[in-house]
Amino acid sequence: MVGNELGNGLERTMPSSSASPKARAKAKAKPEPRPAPAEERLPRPQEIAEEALGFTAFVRGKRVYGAGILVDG
Amino acid sequence: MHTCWHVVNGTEGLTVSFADTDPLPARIVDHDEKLDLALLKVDLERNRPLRTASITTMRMGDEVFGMGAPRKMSFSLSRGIVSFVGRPFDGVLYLQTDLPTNGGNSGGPVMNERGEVVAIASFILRDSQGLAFALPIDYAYVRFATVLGAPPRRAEFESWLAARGGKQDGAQQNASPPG
Repeated sequence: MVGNELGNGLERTMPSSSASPKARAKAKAKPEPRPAPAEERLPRPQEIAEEALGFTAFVRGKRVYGAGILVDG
Repeated sequence: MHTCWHVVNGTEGLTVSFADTDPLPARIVDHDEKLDLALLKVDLERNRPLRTASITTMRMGDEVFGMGAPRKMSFSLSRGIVSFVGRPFDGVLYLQTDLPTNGGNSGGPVMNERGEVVAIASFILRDSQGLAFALPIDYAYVRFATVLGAPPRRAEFESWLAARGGKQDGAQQNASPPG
């Protein structure tokens, strides 16, 4: 058996202990982690409420009531 | 201003209040009975930015927020999730949520997790729990385009509608406007 060759004809995918220190160090080196995608910061419910207070209305008639949404127009 | 037609239909002395204003007089500019939608005119001194998103961006399980006046408790915030996107009633496709909904929520905004308005609280089903339906905001922009201008994202919305057909599923007879 020579080098990384195994007796059954297979080949190691990692260097054996007989590999050079340089090769071992290279094999142990972990790949650089991919940069995480920029995560979107979602507003907290308190922020959603604060914004909604700007465009939400309380709608009232003589006997009915409800809500409304302010839009440009 | 968008609200539900059943909120203002036949009403005299209509007023709207914001969190930081006294009641302001309002009048009905246009309405659509089938969509249960009304467009009101109110004179307000300053603009208030409204961010919207199309129903086409919503997915089952998304978090949603609602603001309304349940039992006259104005400006109440509630939270829920999307139960179904595009539930058909009478040819209209609604956003089904489990948002707590009571009389006074009708016409209020339903917002996505970014705080963008995606729908207008419309009705609940009687004798049920956690079945609240909101009209996608896209319908309002398309219906009132002559007043509000070209609807945003119209092409995406129409493709979304076409893909779903909008068949009625028979549950409309139990629909009940919460007020």
